[in-house]
Amino acid sequence: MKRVVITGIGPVTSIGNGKKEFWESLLNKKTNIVKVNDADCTYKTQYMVPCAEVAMESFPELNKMKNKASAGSIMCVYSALLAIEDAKIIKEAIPERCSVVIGTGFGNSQNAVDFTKSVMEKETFNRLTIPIAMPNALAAWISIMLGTHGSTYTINTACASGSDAIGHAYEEIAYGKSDMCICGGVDIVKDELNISFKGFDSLTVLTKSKDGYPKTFSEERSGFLFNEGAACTLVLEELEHALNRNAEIYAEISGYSCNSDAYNIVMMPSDGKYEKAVVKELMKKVENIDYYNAHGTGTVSNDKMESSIIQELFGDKKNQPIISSTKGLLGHSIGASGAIEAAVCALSIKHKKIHGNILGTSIDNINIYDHVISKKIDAAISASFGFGGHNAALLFTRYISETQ
Amino acid sequence: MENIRENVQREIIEKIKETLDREITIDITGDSLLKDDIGIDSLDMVLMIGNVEDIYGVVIDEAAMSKLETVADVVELVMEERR
Repeated sequence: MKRVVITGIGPVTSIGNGKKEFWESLLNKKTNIVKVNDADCTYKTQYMVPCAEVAMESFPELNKMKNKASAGSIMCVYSALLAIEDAKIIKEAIPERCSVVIGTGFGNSQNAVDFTKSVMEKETFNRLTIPIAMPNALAAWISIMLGTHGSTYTINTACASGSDAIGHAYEEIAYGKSDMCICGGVDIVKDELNISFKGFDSLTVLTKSKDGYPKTFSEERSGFLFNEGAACTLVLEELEHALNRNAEIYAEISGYSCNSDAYNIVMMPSDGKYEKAVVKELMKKVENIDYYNAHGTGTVSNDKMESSIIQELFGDKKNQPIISSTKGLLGHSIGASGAIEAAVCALSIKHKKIHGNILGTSIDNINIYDHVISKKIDAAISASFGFGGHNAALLFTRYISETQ
Repeated sequence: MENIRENVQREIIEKIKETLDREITIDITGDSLLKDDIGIDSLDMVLMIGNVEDIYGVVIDEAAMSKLETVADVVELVMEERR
C-alpha cells in the first residue's frame, strides 16, 4: 500500500472561501445564518445558511464555463482551483495519473427547475440540457479544466458523498492506480422554487430553533441547519510524489471504511450498529483517537445514536476524543459536508487546534466544548452517515516521515 | 435581397454576442472566423446554432454545422434554408 497525504485544501463556504479564511472563521465560530426568503413561508424551520459565492474574478478561466455548466460544476471547479493553488502546483505540473472523484447529493437543484420551466412555459429549450444536468459533469469539468487523465467520476451517497469520494480517492492512490487525486464534494440545493428546502422541511429533519442555531449534541436540538450550497476539494498525493516536489503536508489519510445499514431510505437504526462498525474498523489501525469530527447533524435521532456509539466505542467523557460538529456552525452542506469535515480534520492536525461548538445543554457524557481546544492530534476520525443507509468514515493521522 | 442578407447578418452577430455572454474584443464582421477570431468552441456553436434555428424557424443539421467557418457561412446557410 502506498502512503497518501493531503497537500491542498479548497473550501468554498458561506463563512469563507479558501483554506485561510475558512479556518479563521471556524476557529472564531463565525456563522452565516439567514431567515428563509420566501413570501409564502409556511415552513417548520425559519433559518438557513445562504449559498457560498464563487469569486469568478479570481480565476478568469471559469468564464469559459458560463452557460455551459451548472452553478454546481462551476463551484466545484472553483474549489479545485483553490485546492491546487493551495497545493502550490501549477496545472502543467499535474501528473498524467491524476484522478478526480467528486461526491454530491443533488449537484445543482436549479437544473431541474430550469429544464422543466423551459418545457412547461414554452420558453427556449436549452440545447445543453444533458451536458449541464448529467451528474458526472461535476467531476468531468475538473478533468477538462485541469487536464487530468486518470479515472474521473462522481459518486452519490447522499450526506456521506464527500467522505466516500475522498475514501475512493485515497484507495486510488493507496493501491497504486494514481499519483494524485483531486477529490471532495459539492452541492447546491438552492433553487428558485425552494424545492430542496421544502423537501427536507417536509421530512421534519430541519431545525425548528428560534435563533437558527441547531445546537448539535444538545438537549435543545431539533434538526439540522440547511445549507444552500458549498463545496470543498482536497489534493491527495502519493507520499513520494509530494516529497519530490517539496509539498507542504497537512496530514496523512490512513484509512477509509464504509458500509450500509440495509434498513430505511431516510431513517438510521437506533442502535447505530453499522455506523459504529465504520468507526470501529478505523480505530483498529491506531492506538488512540484524539479527535472525532462527528456526523453531528443536530437531528434528534442522529445525535442520540451517535453519542451512544461514541460512549460504546470510547467509554466515558474522560476517555473520549475531543468531539466537534462542524455542521453545528456551518449547517449541513449535504454532499459537500464530508469533504469540508475532512478539510477540518487535516487543518486541526496541522494547526493543533479543534474548533468550538455552539451548544445548549450538552448531551450527558460527551466530550464536546464551546471553545477552541489546543491539542496535538496524532489521529482523527471523521464520520458521515447518509440517507439510504450509507455510512463512511475516514482516518487522518499526523504525517511522520519514515526517518523520524 | 442584399438588404435581407445584411439584416440576417446583423441579427446573427447579435445572437453570437448574446450566446457568448463574455467580452468580445474584436469587431465582428461577415469575414470573422468563428473559432479563431471570435473564440467560439463546440458548445458555443451548439447554443448559437440553436438560437439561430429558433429565430429563423430552420433546422441546421450537424454535417452543415461542422462546415461553418465564418459568420458569412452562417448567414449563407440560413439564407439557403429559408428558401
